[in-house]
Amino acid sequence: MRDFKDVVRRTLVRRNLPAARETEIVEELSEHLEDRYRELRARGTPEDRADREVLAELDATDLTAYVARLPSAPGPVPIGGGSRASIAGGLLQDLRFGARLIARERGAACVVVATLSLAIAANTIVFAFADLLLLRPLPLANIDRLVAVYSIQAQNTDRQPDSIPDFVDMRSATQTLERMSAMTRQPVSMTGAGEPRAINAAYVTANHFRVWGVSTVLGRGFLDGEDAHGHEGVAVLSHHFWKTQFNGAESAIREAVTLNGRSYAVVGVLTPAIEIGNISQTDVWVPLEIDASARRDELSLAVFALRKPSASLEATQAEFRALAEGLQKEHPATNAGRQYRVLSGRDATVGGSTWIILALLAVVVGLVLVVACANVATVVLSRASARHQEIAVRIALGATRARLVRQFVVENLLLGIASGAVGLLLAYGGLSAFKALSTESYFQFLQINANLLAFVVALSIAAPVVFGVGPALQASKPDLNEDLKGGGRDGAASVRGGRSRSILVVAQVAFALAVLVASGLIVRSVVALEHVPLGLDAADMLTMRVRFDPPGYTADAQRFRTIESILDRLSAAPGVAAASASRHLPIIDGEPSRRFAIAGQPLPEAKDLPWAFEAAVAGEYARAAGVGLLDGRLWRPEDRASGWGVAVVNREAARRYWPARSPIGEHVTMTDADGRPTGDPLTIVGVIDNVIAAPEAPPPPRIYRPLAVRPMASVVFLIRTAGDPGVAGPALRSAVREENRDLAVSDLRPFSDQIASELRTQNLIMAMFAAFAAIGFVVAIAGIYGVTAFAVTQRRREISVRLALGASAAGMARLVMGRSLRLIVIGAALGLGGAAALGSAMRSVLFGVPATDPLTYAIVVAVFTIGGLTATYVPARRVTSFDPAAVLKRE
Amino acid sequence: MQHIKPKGIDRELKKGSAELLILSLVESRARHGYELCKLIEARSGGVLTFRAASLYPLLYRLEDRGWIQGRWVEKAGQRRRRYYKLTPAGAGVLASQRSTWREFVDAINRITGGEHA
Repeated sequence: MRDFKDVVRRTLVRRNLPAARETEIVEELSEHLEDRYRELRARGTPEDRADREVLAELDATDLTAYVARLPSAPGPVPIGGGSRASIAGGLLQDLRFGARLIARERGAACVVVATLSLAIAANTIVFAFADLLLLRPLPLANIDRLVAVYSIQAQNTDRQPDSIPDFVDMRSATQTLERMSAMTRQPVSMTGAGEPRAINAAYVTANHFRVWGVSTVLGRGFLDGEDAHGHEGVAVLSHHFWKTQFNGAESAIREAVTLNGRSYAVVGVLTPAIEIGNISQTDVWVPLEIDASARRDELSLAVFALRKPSASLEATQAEFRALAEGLQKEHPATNAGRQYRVLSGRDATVGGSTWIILALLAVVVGLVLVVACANVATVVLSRASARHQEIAVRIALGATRARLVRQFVVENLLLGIASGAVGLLLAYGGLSAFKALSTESYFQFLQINANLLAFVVALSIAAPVVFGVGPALQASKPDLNEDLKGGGRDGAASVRGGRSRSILVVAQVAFALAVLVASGLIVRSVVALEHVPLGLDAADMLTMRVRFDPPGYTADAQRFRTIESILDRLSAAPGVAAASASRHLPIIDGEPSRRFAIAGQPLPEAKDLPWAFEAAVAGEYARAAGVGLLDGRLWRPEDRASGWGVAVVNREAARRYWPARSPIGEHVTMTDADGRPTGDPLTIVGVIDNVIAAPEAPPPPRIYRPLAVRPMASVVFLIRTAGDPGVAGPALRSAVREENRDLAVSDLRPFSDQIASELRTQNLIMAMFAAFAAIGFVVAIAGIYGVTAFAVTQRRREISVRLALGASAAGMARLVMGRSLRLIVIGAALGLGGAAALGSAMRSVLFGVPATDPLTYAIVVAVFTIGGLTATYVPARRVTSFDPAAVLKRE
Repeated sequence: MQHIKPKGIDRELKKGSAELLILSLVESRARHGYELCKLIEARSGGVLTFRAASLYPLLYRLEDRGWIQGRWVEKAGQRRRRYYKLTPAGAGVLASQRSTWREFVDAINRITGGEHA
């Protein structure tokens, strides 16, 4: 009997039916023909006649007519070159075929789209930050030549403002800069327009807007000379302030604002484009009068300048290095170690640690993308392996390798575009959530714009194409002999594919593990930051700021009388347990660092004098702030008689400067930077517990002095509430109102809220790292699962043979798992190496946790072990449900 | 109709009635293609025969329309075969085709039988 299968197949072959349909038809028809042949032979028909009759069964137009109407699958394969039109047509055909394949293999497509879209979303979100911080044009016309000049202290690189005398010296000495402007910001009381309120004023030199290159939307900026001493007050409003305070009326420029009792004529309104970052907090701009006699150790000015067109940034930097050295020699007491740092306008708008965080985020999401792409490549390879017979047939029929690769690439492209669309939606959701949660007004400018869309499109095209070409090249090079024989499921092609898949799994595990460790370290840092003991009791504490500005308050004695009176009213208010006043809000506001001399000790050089942060407090500070008074006392009314010549030091100051003895009864004298005494000796009367100054630093030495000595225009009241802080709030406000209706009250809120919002940005950054790490982990686990499941399917015949020969199912499951687990272990080892490198690179942003934190490493390894075991166990368990007889029969 | 040679039955008539034949034969139970061929030949006393090349496209067409459903079945001691069974939709079509066919045959009979009456 001849091979009727072959006969039928030859009848159908030119029709290019979908492989599965063709197989069915061939099997069914050939069985029919065999039945017929046997029957004819059983009736005694001679072989050759039976053969002829059976072949005649196929001799009808019905079959070919029917088959012709069936949708043909892999399309007619163009052999050789082909015209442009046929190439375009072929591409369209590839697209159609690709779409059909994807629809058919929905599961695999879903895995690819899910993993790739997550990775694309993560990258898009980070790109949105980069776009906001680096790419989007700043609304400053002179951005190309604009520079900012900061002071830095030799031992750390924190950017600090400049002192007024330094600014004056720089301005007269520079050869490379043509205009220099300065700005300092300060809250002021605005009166005369409804409720008195505290607003933010920016004091700028008259040329400032011209240096920045910003324009007004109404009126004009400042004119030269308007910042001169004795000039009448003029003000430029910020756009948002003009809108809210003057309802955007053009008549605003004929009006005046009263700031700290002084009247300023409004001359212009600034463009809204400038309202980015912390500049958006400024309500009103007024001229800054440069007073060259100001202190050289008070760093208060933000200095900007325009580079001369002939001078490079490097030349300016070199000039300012020399300038700093000159000033160091001239003013050693104040300028020792002070250098200047000249940054381009672009760099100046991005904070120093922002760069590191951004770079780190980019690395993390980049690795996540690599993991996702490796996953895509794995799926492509697995599908290619499963399709090797189809591919072999197509090559045998004359398809070129380029044509096959194109087909694969087109399929990946479709998946990439789908992933890009989903990823864009996810990124939009992520960015919206970030904007809703962030308190930073700057981040409200995060948006999906043309840059971002271009990025997503590029990513969704490039990633799948780049990662699809390799597998496609491999898949399009099948061993025709092996593959065409059929049943070659365990054949050479899958062995070759298997090696690539193994490499991809190892890579996925390695990258995902590195990402997880890096993110784990960030999370641990932020958690450590949150758990730093503050030193005070933030719960049930309300704070509010009150300004004592002129003209109502001009003399310190008068200010202090009002503060004492308010403290009395507050203490009597319902729900208040203790009230105190302070010059600075602890932890949130920075306090000045002062040097002092200890009586009875040899006087060292000015730069080696003891130092401490200087706090000024009044009222029941220890009780109100919840800081333990360790020894001695705070102020008493009798201290007024001694001219408030008393001080309290904190535990850290006592430890440093009076080791092994009590500082109580000791005398200290506050000095200026040159070591000259600035007042009478103070008697130390108490020791109070430490309060931190910033979460990332240990508590500094602090010296507390009576607020009465030098009350400032702005005072913070700290109130310990007895019950619900919300109840006490209105009572506090009315206590101030009763004292004086013209006092501007602001920032009345729980202290814990302010601490939380200080940490909000860090928490958001932590959440981003955690989310990206989770994505990387999920994608890698999905990859491990996919590869193991595929291996089980591919090797079912081999496994069935072994089972039939007596191997135990559990043993087979172990065999399958063992292979995957070996890959995981190799990947994990490489990943740990990568994580160590990444960790040491990010040391500067870590807090309270070493780069080699064993706990982080242990947790990550444990998570991966559990995830990896699950991802291999679930598919491997399928082995136990194999029926070797059924599998072997079917194959 | 005796003088019409069986093999010469008009193509169209055969094609139209072929659907009815198949649907009727798979009504009681599922049958495979070769079985259908043998049954048609046997029950028609050899008047009607189908070649594989005609039968299977017809089966596939009926299946595409959802009137019958083919399924690979492996019975003990036999090789795997594709069995076709009538679907609910097919049962509806069969009922209507049967009544149409009866009306047609009755009409023909009334015309052709009238002269004998």
